[in-house]
Amino acid sequence: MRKIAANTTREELAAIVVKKLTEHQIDAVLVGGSVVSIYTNNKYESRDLDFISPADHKKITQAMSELGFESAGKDFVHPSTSFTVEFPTGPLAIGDDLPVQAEGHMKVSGVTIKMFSPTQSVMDRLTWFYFSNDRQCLDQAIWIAQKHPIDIEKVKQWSARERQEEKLQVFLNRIK
Amino acid sequence: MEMYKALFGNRVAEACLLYIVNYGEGYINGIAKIFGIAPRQVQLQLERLEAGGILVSQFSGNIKLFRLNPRLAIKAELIALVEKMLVLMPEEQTEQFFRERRRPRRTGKAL
Repeated sequence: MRKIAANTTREELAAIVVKKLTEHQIDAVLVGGSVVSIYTNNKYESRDLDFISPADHKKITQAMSELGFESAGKDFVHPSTSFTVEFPTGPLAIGDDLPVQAEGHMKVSGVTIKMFSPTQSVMDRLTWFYFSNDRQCLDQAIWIAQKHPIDIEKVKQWSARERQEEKLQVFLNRIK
Repeated sequence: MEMYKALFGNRVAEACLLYIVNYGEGYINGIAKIFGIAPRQVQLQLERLEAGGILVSQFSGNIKLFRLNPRLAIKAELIALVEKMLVLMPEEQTEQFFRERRRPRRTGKAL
């Protein structure tokens, strides 16, 4: 596997991090904006890689330091890349659904990266539209749905549990 | 657009409704600032829409927040209309006025 460099891609960096975490028996799931970037071919560009992990932060810090990352507040930064890595507090959740299991994955350089599926990523983005009125996240959900098959029934059922049928309709009208 | 201005009565009322449907709620100075309209003009239109039963208001601290009236009989239809206006808007206008980040950002996180 390549070393971390200025031209390391998001996907390559995720693989490098996951490989190192796995060596330390640390499980982690890629979530958030980076997953949107991957599913939208960078139409939305995030410079943060957010992983949800049940592991102890000290153990994570040890693994990340072996890759040359330094802890900067809650972020991990590396001198050779502008991407930052963060481990937000878990568990893995989408709205009030928690815990959830990651249903997506991608394989990069032989490393399997667990991540939200396109449907889960749509729901993750819609959470911010539903509860913070964030239209950027609505756009991101639409872009994912335009590029990937989405389990609309699942999104509808989840939105009903979140009591957000009205806002769901805004999303559904936009992806027609 | 002239058509929308005619429909809503004036440009300020149109801006207020677009803002409130887009962001779910709005307050006088916030709407005035983003569109570069005098706060007094915004206040007059928000109060007119409130008097007509289109909007309701509620204080949050010192700020009077306006939202669509949840009991408005044509709420769903009004939302659908305004959403359509938002979709048909030129992209640069959408970015300028209607894509403010609203989701939280952790304290200390670089912009």
